[in-house]
Amino acid sequence: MPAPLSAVRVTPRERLIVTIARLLEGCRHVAVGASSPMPAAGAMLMRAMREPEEEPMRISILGSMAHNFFTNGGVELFDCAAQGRIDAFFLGGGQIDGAGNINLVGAGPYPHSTVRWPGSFGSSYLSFVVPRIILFREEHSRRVFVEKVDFISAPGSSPPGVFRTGGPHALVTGLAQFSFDRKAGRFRLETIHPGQTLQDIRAATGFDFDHAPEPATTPDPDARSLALLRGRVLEELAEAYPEFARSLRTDIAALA
Amino acid sequence: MAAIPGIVPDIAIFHAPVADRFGHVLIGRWRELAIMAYAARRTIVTVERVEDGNLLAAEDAVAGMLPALYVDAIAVAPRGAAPYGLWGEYTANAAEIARYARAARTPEGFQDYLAATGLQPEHA
Repeated sequence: MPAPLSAVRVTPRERLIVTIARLLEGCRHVAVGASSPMPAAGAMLMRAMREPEEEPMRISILGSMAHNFFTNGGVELFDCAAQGRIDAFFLGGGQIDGAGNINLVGAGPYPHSTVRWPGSFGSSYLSFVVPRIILFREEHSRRVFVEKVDFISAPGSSPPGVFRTGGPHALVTGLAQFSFDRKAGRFRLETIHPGQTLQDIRAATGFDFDHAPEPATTPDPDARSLALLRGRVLEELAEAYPEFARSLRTDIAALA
Repeated sequence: MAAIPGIVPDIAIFHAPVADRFGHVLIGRWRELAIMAYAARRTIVTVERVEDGNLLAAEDAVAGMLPALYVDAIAVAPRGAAPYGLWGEYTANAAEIARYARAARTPEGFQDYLAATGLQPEHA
């Protein structure tokens, strides 16, 4: 039986942003890397939702001038993370496998990759020192979620005795949300987005994962989150991601 | 840092809004540009404009400058970052970037795109 369709009118991308925001509960400082409009929106949304609280959530959006605390170049993100000053960071992957390994290098046998991606950059390092690594990939397909990645940019878990304070915490896709068990090195399907079935998720996932007999449906955004997202967050987002903000506004307008 | 030798690029090249006549360059918070220049043997900077004063003169702004010590050449290239954006100057043109990305899928498309910009090197 498919997860029930949503009662509120909400675009798929809004649901992903709200799902991402929920995963940032309790964070003091969230950093967002380049080319990540939905994680940036999720972080902005969580910050806005927390506003009445005494201790604000800080966010550092790389590429933004208005929403960025870094003033000392790329090196500052890494130093800051090593000192434990960053609670959450986002990583994606051309491929992600069932052990939480991500591949940002390319498909095919390295170094003879047939498809090249942006490169590992600081992913491995950050994955070792940021406690809440949130994996995000909108495309949920077997070419992305593979049994074993062709190249490990950042490993999902490390052998006992390896000093590691960080690692994958959750995985958000266009179809579902998973948690990651670092000890077992496995994903657990937590919620399915409305309209999808467990079978759909299985069919689109190239690896095995744990799940409840009947996984829950990803909750709808509540009215307050949605209002903040459609108002303040979209305005804030337009500075660093004008195209994304424009296209999301168009989608939202088309709902009416 | 001890295990892996640093990279020494022959040339670093980037675009910035302003240089002064001494060759100091405004880089603001984008300190990666300074790191590139420190690492490279030679650094070339294109800018929107050259100003008359001394960018290192004001204490509250000096930390956002790359001193001429690390800069080998400056060239004025108005809208030199386009179709990408340049902070404080102009925003990115997404439609044009998409057009470029489509053109650059083939060597012929790339050559045609370059020819249309009038930016082809003289000895191409």
